Amino acid sequence: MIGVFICFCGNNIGGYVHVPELTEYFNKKEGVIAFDTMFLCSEIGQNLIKEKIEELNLDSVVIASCSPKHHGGIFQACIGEKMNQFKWEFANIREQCAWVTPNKEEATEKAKAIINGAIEKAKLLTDIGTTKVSVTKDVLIIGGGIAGMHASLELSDKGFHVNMVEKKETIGGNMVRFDRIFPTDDCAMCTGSPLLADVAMNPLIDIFSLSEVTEVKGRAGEYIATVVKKPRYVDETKCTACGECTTHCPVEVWSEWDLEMGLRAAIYKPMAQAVPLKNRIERDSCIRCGTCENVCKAGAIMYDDEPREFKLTVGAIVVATGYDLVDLSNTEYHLEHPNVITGLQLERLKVPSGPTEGEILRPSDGKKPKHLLFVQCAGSRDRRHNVYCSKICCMYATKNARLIKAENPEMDITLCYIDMRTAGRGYEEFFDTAREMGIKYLRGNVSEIVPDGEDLIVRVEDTFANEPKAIKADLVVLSTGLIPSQGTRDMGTIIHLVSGADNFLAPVHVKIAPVDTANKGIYIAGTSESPKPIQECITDAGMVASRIATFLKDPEIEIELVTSKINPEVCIKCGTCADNCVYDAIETTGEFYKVLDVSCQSCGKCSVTCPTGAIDLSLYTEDQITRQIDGILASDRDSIIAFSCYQCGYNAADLAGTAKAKISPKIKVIRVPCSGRVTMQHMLYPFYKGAKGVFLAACLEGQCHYIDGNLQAKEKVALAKKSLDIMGVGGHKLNLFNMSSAEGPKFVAAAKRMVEICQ
Amino acid sequence: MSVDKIKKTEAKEVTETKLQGSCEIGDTAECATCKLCASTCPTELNLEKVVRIARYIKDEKGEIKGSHRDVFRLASKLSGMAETQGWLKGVEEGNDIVYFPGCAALFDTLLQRDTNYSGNAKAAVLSLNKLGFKPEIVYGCCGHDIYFSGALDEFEVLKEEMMKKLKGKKIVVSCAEGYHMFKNIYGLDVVSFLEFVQQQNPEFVKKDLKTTYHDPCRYGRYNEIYDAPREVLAKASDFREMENVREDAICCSVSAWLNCNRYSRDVRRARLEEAKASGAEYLVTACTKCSIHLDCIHFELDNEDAKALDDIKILGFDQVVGYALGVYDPFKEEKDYDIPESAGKFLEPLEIKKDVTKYIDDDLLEQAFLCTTCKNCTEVCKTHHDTSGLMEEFRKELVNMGLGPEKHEKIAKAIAKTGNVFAEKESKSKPNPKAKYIYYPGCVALYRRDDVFNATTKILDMLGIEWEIPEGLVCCGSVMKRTGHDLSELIKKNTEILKDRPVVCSCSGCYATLKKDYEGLNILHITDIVKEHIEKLPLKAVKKKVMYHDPCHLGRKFGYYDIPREIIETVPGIELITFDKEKEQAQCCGAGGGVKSAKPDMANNLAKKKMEEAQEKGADMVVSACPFCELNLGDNSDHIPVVDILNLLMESMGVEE
Ligand SMILES: Cc1cc2nc3c(=O)[nH]c(=O)nc-3n(C[C@H](O)[C@H](O)[C@H](O)COP(=O)(O)OP(=O)(O)OC[C@H]3O[C@@H](n4cnc5c(N)ncnc54)[C@H](O)[C@@H]3O)c2cc1C
Ligand code: SF4
Ligand code: SF4
Ligand code: SF4
Ligand code: SF4
Repeated sequence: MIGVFICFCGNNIGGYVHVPELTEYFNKKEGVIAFDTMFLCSEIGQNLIKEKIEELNLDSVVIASCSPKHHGGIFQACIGEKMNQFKWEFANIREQCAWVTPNKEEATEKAKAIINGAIEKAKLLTDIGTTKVSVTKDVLIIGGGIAGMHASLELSDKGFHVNMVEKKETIGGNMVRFDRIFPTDDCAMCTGSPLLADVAMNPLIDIFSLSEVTEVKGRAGEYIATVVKKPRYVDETKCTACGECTTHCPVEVWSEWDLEMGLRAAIYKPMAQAVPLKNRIERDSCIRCGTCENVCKAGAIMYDDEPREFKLTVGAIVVATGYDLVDLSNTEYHLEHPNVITGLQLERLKVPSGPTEGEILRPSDGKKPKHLLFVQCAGSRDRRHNVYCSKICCMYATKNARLIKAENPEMDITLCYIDMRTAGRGYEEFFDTAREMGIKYLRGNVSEIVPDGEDLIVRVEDTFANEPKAIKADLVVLSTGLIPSQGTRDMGTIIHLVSGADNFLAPVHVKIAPVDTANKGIYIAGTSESPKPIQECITDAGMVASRIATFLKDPEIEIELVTSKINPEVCIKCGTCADNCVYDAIETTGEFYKVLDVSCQSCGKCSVTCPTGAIDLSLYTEDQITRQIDGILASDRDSIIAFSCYQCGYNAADLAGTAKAKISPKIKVIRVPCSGRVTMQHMLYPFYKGAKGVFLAACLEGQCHYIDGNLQAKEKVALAKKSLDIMGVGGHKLNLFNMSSAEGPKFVAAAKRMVEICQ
Repeated sequence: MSVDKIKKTEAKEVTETKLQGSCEIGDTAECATCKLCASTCPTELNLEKVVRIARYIKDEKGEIKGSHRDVFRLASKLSGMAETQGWLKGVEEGNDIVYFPGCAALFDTLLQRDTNYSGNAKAAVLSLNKLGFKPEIVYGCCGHDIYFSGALDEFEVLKEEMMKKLKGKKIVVSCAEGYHMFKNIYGLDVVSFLEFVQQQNPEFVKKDLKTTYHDPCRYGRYNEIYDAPREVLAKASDFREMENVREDAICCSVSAWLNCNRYSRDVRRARLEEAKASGAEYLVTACTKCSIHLDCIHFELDNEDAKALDDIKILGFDQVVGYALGVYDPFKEEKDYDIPESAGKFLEPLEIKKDVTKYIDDDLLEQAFLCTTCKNCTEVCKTHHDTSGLMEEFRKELVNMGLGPEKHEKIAKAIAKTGNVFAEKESKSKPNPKAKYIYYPGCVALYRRDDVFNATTKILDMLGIEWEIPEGLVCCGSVMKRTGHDLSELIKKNTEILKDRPVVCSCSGCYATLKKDYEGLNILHITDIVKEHIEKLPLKAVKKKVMYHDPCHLGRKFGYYDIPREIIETVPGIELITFDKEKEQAQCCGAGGGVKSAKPDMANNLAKKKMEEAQEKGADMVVSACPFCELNLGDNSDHIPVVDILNLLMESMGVEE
């Protein structure tokens, strides 16, 4: 007996669908018993479910209510109290039915089909167990910027041992290069150096500088990371950072740390507060004269130092690899001109301990500028560079403008902007005082910066005065947009993390799981996730520490076995599945192939290409999906089946509902974990049962949450279309649409297009 | 590893998913319907038909699952509902003859492999063009896979559509499956491309390919087209044979996309190894499906044994012909299917009411109850299909529909009433609760062959083995099981009595049933015990020529061949002579599987045949280890006595029975 529980959701469903009619209808169905209630997620609703499971000894349950994205967890826990927690199926009759179908009769019919599909699938649900695996309590933090540092301190406070791997010669990241920090204008180092010291001194934190993670294997709770440490050519155990070597080193080259605003020797430390506080020889600039070796009393120089590779076993990983600035050289911004600098370079000029000891001197001649001009949104909100807003530039430009104006009241400071985005506590006030100080805010997007000898002519349209202007400036500061750092971008391949269209790393859910990734035990913090101010980096870091503490709190973690399984009798060990699995979750060494439950991410891509059908994904088995199709089409043969990946397509469909868009009731969504889970059989079968069309709603290309599921789906769809053409069914009735989880309108458009095609 | 060594191993971690086909009706999916076993079946029954109808029942329950997620059977069904588009381009068409290219283009797209099986059809048409024919090409699907996998209603729909296109035409067909279907199932006028080329006898220009030929079952054992392809290939290429060919050809082991698993994969691998051993570079076949399945190993990414077979390539027969005629290049890169966009059609789902009785006719009922469950077929079957298991399960379906033979029903009733097959009233229990062993004589020894009963009990006594026949024992249920009846009641009753002590059987049928269908019992055959204590028996010379008949339920079922022979040979003076076929190949007595009761003529004929051979070989006596075999053989023996092995021992010891 299958119990169907239908929710009115107050008027949210009840107002659009005849709920009592549904209940009556399903009560007539053999082997089904239906109930309705006002709020199924409420205690009353949950009690009803629990009571009925027990009283009627239900085999499985169908929950017909809002999207599983909302209360899926609640229902799973509730059902799990009385029977196996996976023996239920969702019928999303709110977002994907009630809210997109204005006609109540049509909505009711659609709800019937959705619920019927869920019932048919529910008939095949089986118990799915859990297993326990041990965890390592150590944590790996990649990136030692403010986010990484704060997370490491929080975690060590909670008793975890932290390995911090930092690419540069010192930890600290971008923040420790600043002068002051908005919105409080306190000095960056005053905040930063105690943190640096805390991290350096903390016995529970091991710092690996000049190091990079090159590979991550293993599974949640026990990841094995390979780290390569570049040679420092200075023995870290001996160097006392006396600086004797630096003083004597004959080499002078542009300093990377100072962003070429200053010079350094070949042997140097980037700043006085560097952690670890050790000198370093930068090999490309070193001329091997031997001076440092001679002057170094500690005998720390090691010309023959070599890269070292080692492995770290950790239970969880934090990715805090931060940002870079978009490179605007040789664009209309002419960053290559000496007197066009980035905001970050300005920070180096402003730092009292920096190359100019805090003086604003223009690079071409070392003179103090008279006309300083800030260009906002340089490389942001611009289709030629980054479409997104970098969020912090309005504030950091205003910060520096204010500081400079305060010290140089005579200086003419102009700031050209599209809009000022100063949302945040105290931010608007911060901006207000800037204007009061006499900084000129000119609303207009800079179209071009034209070099004029050592000066620059900035072309901009003053949109208040409605007139084009050409402003002469002797120093231009670009408020350059943020992009994910190279390290952040590399994480996609090294750990298989997923990024968004903006190339920043994507959390599993922007709203409700903002620091979690699809890989259990791997978290993201700070600007590797998106441009944000320090304050938010700290919030992220705290949250990550808390998530990890929860994840690693017990010696073992429980893993739900909603994984793929291989039937060893049928498997021919062809290797196709293993080749398809980007998580190395299929063990191929023994006599039988085996799915490693802890590594399997349940995308189902493996099972799609298995020639024999030996491998299948729990909760979304081939038969379960087929039966769901049957159930839907038995209710409404004219349906168009929309296989929607749970990461994007499904969410987009939900959002369309939230926006109360109108979608034809013919469209019936079938949830799949990944578009790569949809087999050829699934694509063709609906037609056999009379469906009018089939489409896949998948993530945007390059943004599949399982790396390449949507690309695999694309290939399959192309072939299935051909076969439909051969059979005379018509390949045009099968399509794939890419959309991000936020693109409700794209789902609506896809649905509309399908209805047009499949008339 | 040779194919014959491929035995099913017990997979250590069987997951939730079942082996394809291991569901209610035996392992129907595991039969490749290849007919390899047909020649070994003593009753010559039409296994394919039984398998097909059994699959119908399974298909109705959604239990038939083809490989590749069953997409090909689905495509076949869809083909019957829409209009297949032409996919061959660059050929000359006309209306001299009709050519049917098969489904290769669908395979090329749906397989998701970089393949060009369509090339075979293209080569065929180019060859026809070269030979002066401009064929009308009729596209579609012959429905072989849905037919053979039991989707018979869907097949009827498809057949009707295809008939509209093909009726009254003379058709040239390349693929073996299409040929068989059109010729024998549709009843159309077809000629195979193999024979067509043979008749045309063209001049070939490029003959350098080193080939060997794989007989597709549908051309070979189904239609006995063996010579045509060989004759053509011998002229068109550098041809050589493999080890197992023609009637004995090993099949690709996947038919109707069923039965693709690690065992059938081993058969395919072995076939390719054979091809390689022949010295050929190209394994040529005349069936797209054979090509696909044999070629499959080349798409494996991980197996060492597969890599070793990279250099034996698969070619279609027509491709070789096209190549030899100089009109087709099988080695080019581009594909030979050219798929036009179709305007499409909205499909009306089929209104099918599944009802197996539509397909049950007298012939099927005859076939279904002919099998003696001797397992001879399983022995030769490359995938070790459990045919007798299938028969038992299929009979169960028929019996549930009330279609079981009257005789079987009578026996079932008798057992229900009296606890024995013969409806005898007298209880023959010999209680001795202290005894270490229980003797389980079974119905035949108790009520029809008391010679066996007496010999067994006496020898047990002589060996000082205490035994009893407890009160309340009933028939083991062997006949119930074989004839598709429920034996759970019997199991319950007997288990209760037998569960604590070792049980000695003198009947192979009882032995097999108690051992396989019961749980937790300690079952011995009397010969196990005799063998162990043989030196305690005062055996004297018996100057006789003796033949040993292997009971199926001891021999093929358990590989129990040697102990009885060793015992016989211990008797001084005995000359043990053999049947032509013995042990694994032994022919059954003909009585098993309820055949003696329901099809007595068949049972008698088979026994007679066996006894005639014994007579020809000059045997003085036929010895066996199963009273039921002895009963049937004895009933059909005019001159030669058929006795139990224990009776032979009694004779040797000079003990009066
Ligand atoms: C000009 C400018 C001024 C700003 N001013 C302010 C301000 O006043 N107030 C404010 O709140 N915010 C300000 N910000 C924003 C601020 O910089 C960020 O919020 C913050 O620094 C981000 O810290 P993070 O740890 O996320 O990244 P980062 O600071 O970028 O740190 C990332 C660290 O990871 C390391 N790393 C990268 N790749 C790897 C790898 N593969 N392996 C190991 N390590 C790696 C890097 O070397 C770096 O140390 C400003 C930004 C700019 C550009
Ligand atoms: S050896 Fe290199 S690092 Fe040392 S002093 Fe010379 S140039 Fe500088
Ligand atoms: S794809 Fe299928 S048959 Fe191949 S190795 Fe994986 S499970 Fe086995
Ligand atoms: S043998 Fe290969 S091609 Fe044939 S069904 Fe099996 S996996 Fe598919
Ligand atoms: S040999 Fe095996 S596969 Fe072939 S027909 Fe007989 S039982 Fe079926």
